[in-house]
Amino acid sequence: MNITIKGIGTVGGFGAGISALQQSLATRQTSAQMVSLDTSKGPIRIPALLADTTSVQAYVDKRALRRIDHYIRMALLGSFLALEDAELLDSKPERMGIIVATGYGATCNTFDFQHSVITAGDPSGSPTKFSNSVHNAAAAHISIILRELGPNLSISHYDMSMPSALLNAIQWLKEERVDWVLVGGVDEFCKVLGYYWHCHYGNTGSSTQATGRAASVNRHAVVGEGSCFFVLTREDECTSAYGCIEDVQLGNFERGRVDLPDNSPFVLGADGFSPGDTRYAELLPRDCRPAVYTPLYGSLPVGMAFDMAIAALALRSGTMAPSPDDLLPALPGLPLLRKMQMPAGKRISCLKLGAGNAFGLVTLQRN
Amino acid sequence: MKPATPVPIVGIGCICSAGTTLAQCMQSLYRGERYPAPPTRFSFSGTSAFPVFEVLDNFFTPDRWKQTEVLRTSQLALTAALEALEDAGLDPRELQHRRIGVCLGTNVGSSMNNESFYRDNVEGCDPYIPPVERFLLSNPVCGIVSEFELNGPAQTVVNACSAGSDAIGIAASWIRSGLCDAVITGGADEMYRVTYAGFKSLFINDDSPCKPFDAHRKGLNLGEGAAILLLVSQALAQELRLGPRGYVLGYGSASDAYHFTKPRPDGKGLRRAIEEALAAAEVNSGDVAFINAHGTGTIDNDLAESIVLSEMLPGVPFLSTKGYTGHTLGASGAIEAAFTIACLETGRIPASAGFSVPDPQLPGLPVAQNTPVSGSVAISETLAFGGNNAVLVLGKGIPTIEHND
Repeated sequence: MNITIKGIGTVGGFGAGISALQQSLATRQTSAQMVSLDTSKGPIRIPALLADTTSVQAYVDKRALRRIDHYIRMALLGSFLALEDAELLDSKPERMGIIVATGYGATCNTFDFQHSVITAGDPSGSPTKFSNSVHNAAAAHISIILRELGPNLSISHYDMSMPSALLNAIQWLKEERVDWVLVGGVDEFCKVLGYYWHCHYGNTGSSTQATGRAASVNRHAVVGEGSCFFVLTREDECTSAYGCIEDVQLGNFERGRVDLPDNSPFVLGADGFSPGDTRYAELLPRDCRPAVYTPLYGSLPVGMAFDMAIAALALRSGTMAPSPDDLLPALPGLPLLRKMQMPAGKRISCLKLGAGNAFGLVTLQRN
Repeated sequence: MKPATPVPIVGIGCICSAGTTLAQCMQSLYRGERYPAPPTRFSFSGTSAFPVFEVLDNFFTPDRWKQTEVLRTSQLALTAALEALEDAGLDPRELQHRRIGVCLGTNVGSSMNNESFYRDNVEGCDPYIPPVERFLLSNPVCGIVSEFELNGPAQTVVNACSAGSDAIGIAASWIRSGLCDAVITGGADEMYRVTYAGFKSLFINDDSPCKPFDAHRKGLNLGEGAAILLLVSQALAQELRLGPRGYVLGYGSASDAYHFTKPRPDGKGLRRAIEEALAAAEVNSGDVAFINAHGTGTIDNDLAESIVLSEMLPGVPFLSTKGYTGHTLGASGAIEAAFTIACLETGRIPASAGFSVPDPQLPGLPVAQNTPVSGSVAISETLAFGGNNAVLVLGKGIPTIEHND
């Protein structure tokens, strides 16, 4: 049995849809915006890769969007684009489950609700902001808009949220609980996170308050936001051009083994922010030429979803795009893929090393 | 859907307002004791303080956890986890170098809602960030993984109020598929001022002790706590000679796809979840000894639940234990699963606290006094914001299945 990727939908600082992501891979550029933050020393500006969700109106009625915030819109847009890519938009499949991964949840609503409580007094919080701040807000709104009564799950485990979500999606399909799973990751930028970011990177790339994070890898990190969703199904033979999910591993690389596949190119989730960024060279084979695409979508906890999308596109095209070399974080001991590699081979692994020596490994494979 | 193999539960820990161990909690429940009171862990400037069910601060947590500003949610989870391991007769060191997963449900434990950080930030004070970093790295799952030096998959389920039940269902799935030898699973959540303000903004709090399924119910009371179940594979149970206290027999979940904060009036999502859980467990509705209902005490929840239970499981006694614990959010599904196993063991369910006056609109009513039950299978169900419904079928033994073929 194969867990096949039938559709991909993505939105981020590079634009909306897989064509925008492909364009970004080809040009190795995205458009970071400068965001203003207030500090005690006056306003500062930091770069951020922000997502435009205007095109969600093509899929969701304007009235339904009235009380739906940016975080949920990103998730909805990614979901609809994935369903459209899978040619399921007009005939939503039966027995579909929904799984949403998020590292931080709906941070703007979370902090807005706190703001209303702090500034206007305890009893003055907005009920809409509170309910939309709950971590399963995105998954719930997707099910409500799609009228999908199948199982619905939200996972929030920082950098490991996306591989965790995938682990469940695969379990659901193997157990035949559902025939389809819409699974993806979403995270949003907010100014409080921006401040947190600024404290790590400052104006010089050095950490101003960081605790245990390596300043040398922070130099090129840009905060990102967006969503990336996949439509998965179960097939006897993998017929999808995107390939199938061969393996998902989660664990702790200090205490246990990471079973790296042979002959697989690697896409690393080194985003210049994760404490694990300095450890990839210890795990990967010496002759490995991994690729890193985080500068294209930014640093966000569910970044592995974007790496998976890029890997699936590479399997489809047979071409693995070079890393955007002028934007890359420094990865000690790792020579990165700088030139177009042809062909990509039949297998690509996405590896993320996170806080606390946690790792997530997702291997995609095409027959 | 494939039938689910029973997964042994070899240890249980529970801490909530009713007690700091599962045994204490059950004693308290059977005595009909409950301790709702105005919140003591934070001040609130609202006109009236709604009662809550807090855990007394004298519960055991290792000193090093108290010294490093570990989240209270994580401290509650660890306390329950330590009890669960002790209950199983396991030294935590026996878990190392095995495939041990951790899968917990929480709400507050995963939200980046550090109020003092935010307050300083909006006041332009450049708040110091290490407390936020600690917050981000000390959610209950990360805390348990670190404390016991584990190496399996670790996952935080944030399905609002059904998160604890969902986590247990997922954990059982990890065991069945061979992904893990054991999983530390359950849920945890702490009493938090922002959550309290949020529920107040929704006008679904009762200003008196909550009265689930009662004609005069006005809403819920918040609570806090944690429950941990140690699930193991049959192979590990045999190897370590671990005797099961019960089994996870089945799990089902479904969405209402209706409204973010209101349950679907016809309970369609809940029906699907119950059907799936019973089918997975290969259990008939007639085999169910009792139901530990979600029973928050809100008008809408209790009505929808009562309708579904009276139609799908007519005559099966049910209760809500939230009158003893308050609504412990991400912990509630786990705490109620722990209570369900304990009730199966004793063959008795406690009175549904707060219920005294039947509501004529509810077709099914809970038990009003401690009630003997017979049978080895029970249901624990949870409903959640976002329209999530999660149902666990739990057993004190493996039911004998009669196949007609």
